[in-house]
Amino acid sequence: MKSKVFIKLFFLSALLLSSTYSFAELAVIIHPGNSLEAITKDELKRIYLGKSKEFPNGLIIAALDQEKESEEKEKFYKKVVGKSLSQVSAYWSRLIFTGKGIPPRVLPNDEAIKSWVASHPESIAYINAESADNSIKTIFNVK
Amino acid sequence: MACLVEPVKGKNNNGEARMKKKCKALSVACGLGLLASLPAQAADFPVKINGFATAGFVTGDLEADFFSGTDVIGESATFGADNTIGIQVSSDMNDQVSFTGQLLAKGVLDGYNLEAHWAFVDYHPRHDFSVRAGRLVLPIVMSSEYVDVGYAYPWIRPPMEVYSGVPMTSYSGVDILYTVNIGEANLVFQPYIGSVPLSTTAGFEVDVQLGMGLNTSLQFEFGSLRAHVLKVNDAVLGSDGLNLGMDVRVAAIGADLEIANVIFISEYMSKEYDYSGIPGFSTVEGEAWYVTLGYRMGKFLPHITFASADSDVDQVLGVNLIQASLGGVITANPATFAALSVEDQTLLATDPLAAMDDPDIAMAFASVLSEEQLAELPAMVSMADMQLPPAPLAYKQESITLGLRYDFLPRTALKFEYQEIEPQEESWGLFVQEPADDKVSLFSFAIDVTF
Repeated sequence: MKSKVFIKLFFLSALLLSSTYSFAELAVIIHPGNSLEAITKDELKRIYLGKSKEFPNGLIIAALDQEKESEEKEKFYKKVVGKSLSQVSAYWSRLIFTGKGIPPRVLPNDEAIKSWVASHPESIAYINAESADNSIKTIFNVK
Repeated sequence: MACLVEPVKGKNNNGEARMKKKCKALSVACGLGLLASLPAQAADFPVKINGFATAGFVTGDLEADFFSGTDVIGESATFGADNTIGIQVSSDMNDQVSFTGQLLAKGVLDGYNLEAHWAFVDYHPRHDFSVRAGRLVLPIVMSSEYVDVGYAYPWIRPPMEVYSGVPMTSYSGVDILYTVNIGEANLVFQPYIGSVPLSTTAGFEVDVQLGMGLNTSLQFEFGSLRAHVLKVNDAVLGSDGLNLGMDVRVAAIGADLEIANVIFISEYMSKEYDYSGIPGFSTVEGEAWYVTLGYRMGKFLPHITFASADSDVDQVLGVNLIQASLGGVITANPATFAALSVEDQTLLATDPLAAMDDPDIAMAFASVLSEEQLAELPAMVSMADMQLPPAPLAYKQESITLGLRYDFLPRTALKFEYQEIEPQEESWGLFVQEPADDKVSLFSFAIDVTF
């Protein structure tokens, strides 16, 4: 009896864990004053792994991240960085605890991220494309 | 955070100014909001707190303590052997100077050990160049600097054949991190210099006056490759009053790659302990390697590791060391030896341990041995039944490990491992005493978190 419940729970949790990514399109955004007009996926990947620290135009980068482990965040890392969120956590734990790197600053939601980007010329972030407006500049779309 | 709920309109570019303005109207609610948004507000002077922890359990036909990395896993400590908690605080003084401190509490044989694992000031005038000074961790092999952060790698304990090779962790000194971009890859140079203040690591008293090394790693799309050399002069690695003075040279290469869900991690280390001046010892040369293969299936990562260590030296028993040591004294003092009775001369040659208890022999040697040599005699006698040089300085061992990592929650991993350890030839491997069986099987469970 108990084992049946357990098996059901197991499959249910497996189903939940394997939920597909959000269909929401993501927008990679920067400060409107940043002269950069577009960016490649590889460059984004290197920025979000802390390997690239300068924009192609020479500006020092400060990347921002979503605080919540949302579907959007999962999608961004899977599609752009090519890693799952737990792989990304393990990657950063090697750098954080050896003093060799600091992960992107996290902010709670798209609104907070947009207002941060709008007031910090060196920042780059990703938000739901529907949240994008003219306070910031979109330079890449993750479909 | 109430203040931030209002959607941003294109005309208002300054979130902080907007928030302050609105807060005048709703002072109480926004006071809380301001407080809650402090981490974001304090952007120019943030204090970051991070941490990691491991809780583990090990069981199996474990009859003797064994060395694993710079720890000793106890046959009595089934719970707690792998227990670790680390807290790190870091802060930016300004754009170019930051401070990092990491406290580490670890389960050891007789309880817990608390230490300042890292404590350094980091001066980084450029984003690709930094100088760090203070208490740092030796980058001896690939995961050495984060060996206590279980969450960072697939295993419960990194392959002990390679990771136990050098019983040193933190040092006081300076390192430089210099990154060169080569297309899509980064080449990082990490030269360092420093000393290891008198401390106890893996049961050894370690005291190093000066050591220097160079760690180089190439980081690219599929992972990283690294090479490292370390040279230490006049190291003292002591145990029970017996100090083994030596020069140490270590070289290691490694690869950590992931291509299409296949994980390949491998390292090779060669080391040399030069015990000049200790009778009966020659230079110990050792090499060790491991290969880990894994296949990532979503949140599951099954893996297998083959590991081997071979110190290229005929290991001797402590009793032979005593014999050699006494032999040296006898050769240097023929008159003392000639003055002994024939029975005592025979006893010295055949049973040096019994000879040490003979009052006539003891008295004869007391007159010719230096105070230092006399002080070391009891320690040598106590090590008579030990294999020398002791592990982890020298050992021959092979092992196979089957493991599974399951990332079942964000920043939380559950791990299971089955391990078969086989000391080779006459060596006791990494065991403190000779294991009863040729092969020792271990089951380990651990949960790793990071925050």
